[in-house]
Amino acid sequence: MNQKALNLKELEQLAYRRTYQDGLLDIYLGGILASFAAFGFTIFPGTDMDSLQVLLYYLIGMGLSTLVFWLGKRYITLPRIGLVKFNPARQKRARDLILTLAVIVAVQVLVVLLQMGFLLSSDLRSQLIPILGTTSNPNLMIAIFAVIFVAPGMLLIAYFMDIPHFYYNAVVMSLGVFLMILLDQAWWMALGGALIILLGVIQLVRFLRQYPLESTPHEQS
Amino acid sequence: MSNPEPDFSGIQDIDRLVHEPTRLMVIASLYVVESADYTFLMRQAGLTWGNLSAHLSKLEEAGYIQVEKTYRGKRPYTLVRLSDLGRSTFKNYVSRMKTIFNDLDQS
Repeated sequence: MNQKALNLKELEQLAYRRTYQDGLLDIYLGGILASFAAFGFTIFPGTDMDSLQVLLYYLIGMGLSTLVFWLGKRYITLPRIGLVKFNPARQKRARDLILTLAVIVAVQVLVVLLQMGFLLSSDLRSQLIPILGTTSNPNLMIAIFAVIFVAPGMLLIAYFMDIPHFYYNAVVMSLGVFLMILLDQAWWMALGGALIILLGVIQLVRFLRQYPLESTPHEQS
Repeated sequence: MSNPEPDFSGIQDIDRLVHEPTRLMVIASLYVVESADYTFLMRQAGLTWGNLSAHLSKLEEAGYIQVEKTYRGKRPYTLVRLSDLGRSTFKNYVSRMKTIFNDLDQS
């Protein structure tokens, strides 16, 4: 007999993780990452896009990601798995996540600005290269610094969100940023976003198969 | 001198409303969250709407759950939560079951 004790913690975790099985958050995050690659296009070579095209690419990407997430949650997820409000401990964890995200974003913006300054200012670049080491490829050092800032942040998000596959997103995201800086190609960041979107789409298809729409004589008179 | 009668009072006092397996699944599902709607509970406990509805009615009659009708946009939702009585009853039930089988010799 394979009998298992009722584990309330597991039961709660199952309920929580079910709300992220739809892949919509991955599609959203991937979309944001791919959209952010637009800023890379203004710094790195690899595209002939002018500023207006870059801005359009960014705005359309961000808008589309947000729209897909919002509409998906409303018309795909909610009718299939319903509505749940989690316990205060889980809600506190969500608040901690928001606080952590705010700090991470602030630090990352600072790092990106410093990097842009470094890349655009030849004076600063020539002053910092001796400090960074006598490497023939200064981009390698910048790429490593970028990953040091991006990866822990994303890993913390994965930890606070308590969703295992977000560690994959963290690795792909960090790799995208690393290769973009190292190889001077913004497309690598866009590719990272595309890979995360792909994972999200696979999850969404699985979710739709696992949770078909049930006809219920409500919702609920 | 007569043999003492076995004491089954601990078992007889078990709350049968909670003890029924399907209702136990529903109560456990509600215990770990603040509130949930019918669809979520159906998925979580693996029940049909009719089955869930029947069990929820019994739990509501006993005062173990509270049913709240609300709107999300224009769509009506019925949110279900364990009442304080339901929460304490579930805790007591778990504690009682542990006590009953605590000294059971499984050899």
